[in-house]
Amino acid sequence: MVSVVTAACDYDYLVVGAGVIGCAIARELVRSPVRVGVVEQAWDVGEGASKANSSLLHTGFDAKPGTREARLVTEGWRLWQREAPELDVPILRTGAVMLALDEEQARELERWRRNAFENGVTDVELLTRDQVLALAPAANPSVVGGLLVPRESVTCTFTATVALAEQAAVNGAVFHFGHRVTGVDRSPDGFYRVLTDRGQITTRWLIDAAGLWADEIARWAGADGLVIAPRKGEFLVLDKSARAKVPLIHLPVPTPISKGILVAPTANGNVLLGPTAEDVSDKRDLAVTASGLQRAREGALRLAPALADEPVIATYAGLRPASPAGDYVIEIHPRHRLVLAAGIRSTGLSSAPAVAREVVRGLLEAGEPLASSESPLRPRPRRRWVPGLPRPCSRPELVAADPAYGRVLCLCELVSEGEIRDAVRAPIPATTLDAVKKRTWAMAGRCQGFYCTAAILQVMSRELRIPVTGLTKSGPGSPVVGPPVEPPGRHRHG
Amino acid sequence: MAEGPVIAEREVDVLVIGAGPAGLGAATRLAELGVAPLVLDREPVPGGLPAQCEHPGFGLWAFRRLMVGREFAARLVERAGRAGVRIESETTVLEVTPERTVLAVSPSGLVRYRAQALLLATGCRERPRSTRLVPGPRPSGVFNTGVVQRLHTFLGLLPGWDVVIVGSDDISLVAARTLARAGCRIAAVVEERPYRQGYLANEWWSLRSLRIPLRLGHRVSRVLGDWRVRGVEVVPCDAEGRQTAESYEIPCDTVIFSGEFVPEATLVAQARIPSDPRTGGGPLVDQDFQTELPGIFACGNLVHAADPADYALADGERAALGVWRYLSSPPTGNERVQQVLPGTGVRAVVPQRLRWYGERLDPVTLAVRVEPAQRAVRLRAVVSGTRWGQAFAPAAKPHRSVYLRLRPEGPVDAPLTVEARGWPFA
Ligand SMILES: Cc1cc2nc3c(=O)[nH]c(=O)nc-3n(C[C@H](O)[C@H](O)[C@H](O)COP(=O)(O)OP(=O)(O)OC[C@H]3O[C@@H](n4cnc5c(N)ncnc54)[C@H](O)[C@@H]3O)c2cc1C
Ligand SMILES: Cc1cc2nc3c(=O)[nH]c(=O)nc-3n(C[C@H](O)[C@H](O)[C@H](O)COP(=O)(O)OP(=O)(O)OC[C@H]3O[C@@H](n4cnc5c(N)ncnc54)[C@H](O)[C@@H]3O)c2cc1C
Repeated sequence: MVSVVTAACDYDYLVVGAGVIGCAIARELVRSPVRVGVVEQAWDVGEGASKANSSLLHTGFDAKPGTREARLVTEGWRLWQREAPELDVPILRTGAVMLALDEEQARELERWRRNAFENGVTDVELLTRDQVLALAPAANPSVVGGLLVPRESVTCTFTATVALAEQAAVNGAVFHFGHRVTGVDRSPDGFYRVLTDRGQITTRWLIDAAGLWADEIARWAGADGLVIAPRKGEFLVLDKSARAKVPLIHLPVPTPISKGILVAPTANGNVLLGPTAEDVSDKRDLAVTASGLQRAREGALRLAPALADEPVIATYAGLRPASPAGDYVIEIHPRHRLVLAAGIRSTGLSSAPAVAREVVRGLLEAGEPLASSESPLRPRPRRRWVPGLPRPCSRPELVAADPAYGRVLCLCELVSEGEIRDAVRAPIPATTLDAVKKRTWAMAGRCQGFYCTAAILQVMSRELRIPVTGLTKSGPGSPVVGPPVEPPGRHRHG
Repeated sequence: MAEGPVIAEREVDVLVIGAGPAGLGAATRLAELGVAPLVLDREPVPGGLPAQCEHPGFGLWAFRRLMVGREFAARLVERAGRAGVRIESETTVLEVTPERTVLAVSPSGLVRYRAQALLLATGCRERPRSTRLVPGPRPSGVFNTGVVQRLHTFLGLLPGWDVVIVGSDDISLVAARTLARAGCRIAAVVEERPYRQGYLANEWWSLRSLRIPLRLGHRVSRVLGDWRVRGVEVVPCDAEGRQTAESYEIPCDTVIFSGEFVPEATLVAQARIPSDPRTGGGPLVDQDFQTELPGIFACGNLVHAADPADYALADGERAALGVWRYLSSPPTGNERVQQVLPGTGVRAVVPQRLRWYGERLDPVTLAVRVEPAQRAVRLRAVVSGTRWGQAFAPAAKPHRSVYLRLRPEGPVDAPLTVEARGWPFA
């Protein structure tokens, strides 16, 4: 491999953060023969904002015109359409309808229609009440009109992030999981020494894609002024019985603070209600709250009251990495060899491939010898299952070829032993229970692991060659089962 | 050239889904009646939920002896085998159609069965934390009792050391005892309602004898801990759920959300078999356990979650007779259907309708769920002012059925109403 630098440092480019943005950047960089590393504090990709969002692929129709966000979301949407099939990322082109529930909101629709046109989304359409109800049978009967956005789509944020990361890994990117960056030094020879809780990593360029903590990393690297504030969003997930009532995404008319609480199908056949939007002070505060869940539910039921009786199977909360600037912060500092890809608040899943290209464009301008964004990548190994497609257990040819696909462990999502095994053996191996869930959706159905947790732990233990007592939910500190080290009686809580 | 692997097709007389007490009870009885049933179960070990239970509390009615769940399950399986029942394990049913075709998969392939009659006995599950909407972060160390039992019975593992159990039905109480004896410290058993759900004797046996505290009128308001559970926040509350005192923390590394069973009705919903929201989505059945779709039967915890295993077994045996009658004389269509309605003090009744064929009016057993909990309850089944049956229970609580046997007295064209009158619990 031809490398632009001497081997005196570990990487040419080190990305901090394996969220959807960091993974997309790594994948874009490995098109060139350069050494790319990704350092991530969690034990899997996509454990930050990238795992707790609405999983929508936005067209950018509602972004503020003229912003970088508007441009990159639009470009991202196109790139995803092109690349998703080969990456095994599901895209459901359901479309979205923005629902006006009173005359005042109805007047707003026209403004959003113009907004969409300004962003180049010209296929939007104003709808009458009857047209809305024909498309969205569960919509509030008191709806007065709507705006149809035919290309708003649904994807799966888990699958998308893992796919980008795996293709990056297959093409040479090295992932360092469980490494928390604790400081950054610039050495006299011009390299960065990135300090982590597990030793240091050296790199020529530092790429800050650390989501909520991007401000901290930037400060350490010498770029002041970036502030990232967490804004919490809480969700409820409805069981699959609700899906038939929600053929497309239902959006409220946005307010100045947030896109608002929506109702959306998921790629896996469920329905999401949420998210709320609440500024919080603690970047670790991922708790769902009684009031948040209630607001999410009430907001969603205003759009689609017919979902009131549908059973909730799960809840979760995510934190948007918001910057007061109100737009993405993508900066290339050639003198410091520092890239910021931050403040990607509420549309980063959609824009990720475009953000990655934007970063590479910046690096090219800075004189870095990188390959064009059209140079090919080695494909990611094909998946046996993609959310929304039939499970391997229902495909006779797969079961005949490999009986492990016929041994169903997760009854609700119909995940077979073979899929659990595949997740553990993938280019980015699933080593935690949450990582297995992300890749297979096992334990994510209506019973939430009642039937299958024990059996899945057994398969993981066998595949990873570690005892079940050594398995964790999300990394060290989160053992799935006891016993912890201390014997009973002497155990004390700190 | 042979074509690629395809879905095998098979014809069977009776297909039973679920090899728990209900399914095995039905299959054994059917085999004794001369029908050859095939039982499918997704687990590697047949026997249903009891197969994962290592505590005594099973078998009194069926085998006249108290035994641990595993032994009870093994006995049922053995008895079924002797009667000529075939059981296919590690076989998961993926799909059921109203026309009684069943798609199932096992490591040896996919099979589509066509059955003359079909019995669903897929049991029930506990509601997980997420559907109870308990606030807080989502660390590891949060379980249902069923998961804990499996870890313990099949893998020899404990969920953690310091345990809080949420719920006080008999299953919760027994879980507390099992874990305490295995070496866990049970910090508390907490119950939102002002009364214990399980039996008093069980409280003595499972909790008091081991000095495990039971905190009634306490709701878990938050799970604490970012990685692993480090405690729960509880709120003392009154019968209406209103907070009555300061909330406080109970340190622990494990929380077990116990009880609150819901039918495993995935296949019921998928085949669009009409179901009863009052039972949490179990299918509507008649006294033969026939659903609204002819030839499709359902019994056990799937229709009334969760009653003791003996009741599931008894359901199965009665369902077998229904299946047998259906096979020997298919319905003519001129049977009379009588609705069964929950009246005052009653949340749900199974069966939800009675089907009468010709002039024969056989006695019927109803499983009744009261709401709210009551002491000294008198249950009455009434048709147009005439009492068809009654029962008395010293105590009745919503999570467990009270049984009422009735004998039809007179015309069957008006609905039957079941009511419960007793003193409130507090
Ligand atoms: C409620 C909600 C709904 C949303 N809905 C949508 C949607 O429908 N469509 C859409 O396109 N977008 C949506 N988004 C936005 C999208 O989720 C984010 O824009 C995107 O996930 C941001 O990705 P990221 O990689 O920048 O951040 P993250 O995913 O947070 O990744 C940052 C990573 O950096 C790691 N890290 C941080 N500090 C360190 C350190 N010191 N050392 C090592 N690693 C570190 C973190 O562990 C994390 O994994 C939503 C967001 C939220 C919260
Ligand atoms: C923790 C706990 C403790 C208990 N303790 C006691 C006790 O001490 N005494 C007592 O009398 N009762 C006890 N019970 C209750 C008892 O277990 C149940 O009453 C009994 O198991 C119900 O029998 P069933 O046949 O209806 O369902 P189950 O026993 O649950 O059997 C259902 C079967 O269906 C199978 N199945 C489900 N879906 C499918 C599918 N799609 N394809 C293939 N197979 C499928 C399952 O694998 C399972 O084997 C306890 C229950 C629990 C959860």
